[in-house]
Amino acid sequence: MEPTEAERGSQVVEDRPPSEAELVSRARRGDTEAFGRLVTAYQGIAFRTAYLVTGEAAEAQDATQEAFVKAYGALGRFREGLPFRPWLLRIVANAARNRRRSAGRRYGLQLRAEEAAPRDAASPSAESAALATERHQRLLAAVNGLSADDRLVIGARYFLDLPEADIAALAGVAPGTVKSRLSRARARLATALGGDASGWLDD
Amino acid sequence: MTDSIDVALQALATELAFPPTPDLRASVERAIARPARRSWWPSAWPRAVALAVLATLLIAAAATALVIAVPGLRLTFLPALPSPDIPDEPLATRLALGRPVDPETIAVGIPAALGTPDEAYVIGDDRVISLVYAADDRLATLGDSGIGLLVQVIEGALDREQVEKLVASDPGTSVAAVQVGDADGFWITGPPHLVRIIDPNGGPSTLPTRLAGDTLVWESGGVLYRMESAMGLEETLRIAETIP
Repeated sequence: MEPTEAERGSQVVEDRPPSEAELVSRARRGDTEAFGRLVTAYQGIAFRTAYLVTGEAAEAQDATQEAFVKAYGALGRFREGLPFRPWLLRIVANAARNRRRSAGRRYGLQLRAEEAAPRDAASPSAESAALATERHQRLLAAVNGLSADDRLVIGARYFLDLPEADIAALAGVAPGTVKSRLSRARARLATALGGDASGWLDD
Repeated sequence: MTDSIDVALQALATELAFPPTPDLRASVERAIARPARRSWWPSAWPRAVALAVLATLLIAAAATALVIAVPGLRLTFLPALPSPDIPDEPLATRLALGRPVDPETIAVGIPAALGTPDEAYVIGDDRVISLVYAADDRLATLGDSGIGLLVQVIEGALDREQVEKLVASDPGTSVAAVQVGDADGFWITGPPHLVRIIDPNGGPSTLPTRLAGDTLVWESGGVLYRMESAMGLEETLRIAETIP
C-alpha cells in the first residue's frame, strides 16, 4: 500500500520519506531495511493478487512471501525508473499460479460472511437482498469457474481496481491488449452464465 | 449482456471477502538477510564487459547498402568467418548466455505472444538478459539446439557499441533493413554469423564468439534487442512486435 495522505502529512519536511525509486535503489545495493519498507508498502496489493489466483489465504501468504524474496534476488534485473508495482505483481502472480498448480484442492473466491448468510425473506427488502445475494453467488461461482488467466484479469480489474499497466504485467501481455483480454473474459463469463445472465440488473 | 456483467462485477467487488493481509515484512527481511547474493560469475571480469552482447554479421556486399544504424550494434563484414571460440560445448555454454536465473523474475523484453520463457540467463550485472523458448509446434528449432527462440535484451549505454556481429561475404547472406514497430532494425539471414560481446573499454573481448542463426536486431527506448529464430522474418517480426 502506498502511504496515505495522512501518513505523508505527519512527516516533517526534513524527514521526507524516501521515494519508491530511492528504496529500490538502496535495496539493490543490499539494504534489507529499504526492501522491508517496500514490503510494507506493497504487501496488501501483493497478497490480494495472490489470493485472486489461489483462492486460499495460507497459499496466498506463502506465494506472496516467496515472491518478495524472489523479487529481492532479482532486483538487479529490475529496470530502474520503471514502476516497481507491476514488476512485483507479475512475480507474485507467477508464484501464486505455481502454488495453485501444485495444490491438490481447488479453492475459490468467497463472499463476505454477512453477504453470504441466509436472510429472512419475510419483508420485501429482505427478499430483494436475498435475490441480490443469490445473484452474487451465481456470478462468483461463474468467476471461480473461469480459466486462471481469465479470472486473474477479471479480478485485477474489478476486485483489485488495478490500472491497465499492472494488469498487463500480471497477465504477461502488452498494455494495449488488456481491454480485449477483459472483453473476451467477460464474454466467456456471459457464456458460462447462459440465459441466467440477462436478468442481472432487473431489480 | 457483457455490459450488464460489467456492472454486476463492480457490485460484486464490494461483497467479496478478502482475508486480512498478513504482515510479511519481518519474515521477508529474515529470508533475504543472508550474506552476499552475488553469483559465481567471475568478479575479475570487468563489469563493463557485461554491458555488451551481440553479434557480428559477415556480409561485404550489403555493407554499402546499409543506410541505417542500430545503436549499440557493430556490424563487421569479413571475406570469411573465423572459427567460433566455442563450437561444440553444451548449449548454455555454447550460446554464452551467462548464468541461469528464474524465468519468472524476468519482466523485460518478454514477447506477449509467448509469455514467460522456459529458461532465462543473465550476464554480469544483469544488463544482458537472455530469454530461451523451447522449440515446439509454433517455434521451429534453431539448428539442432531444441531452442525455438532466443531473445536477448541489452540495456544501457548504447552510445557505444555493445555487440558485434561478424558477417561473411557470402552470396547467401543478407542484411536487410526492417522496421520493428517504430524502430529501425536489421534482419540477418543466411549462413550462420558470429556474435560477440564487445569490451566497452576497447580491449579484446573476454567473451567468446559463437555462431548465430537468422537474427532480428533492433533498438527501442535505449534497449538493444536481438531475436534469433528459425521462423523466418514475418513470424519473427510478429513476435518481436508483441514485446511491450
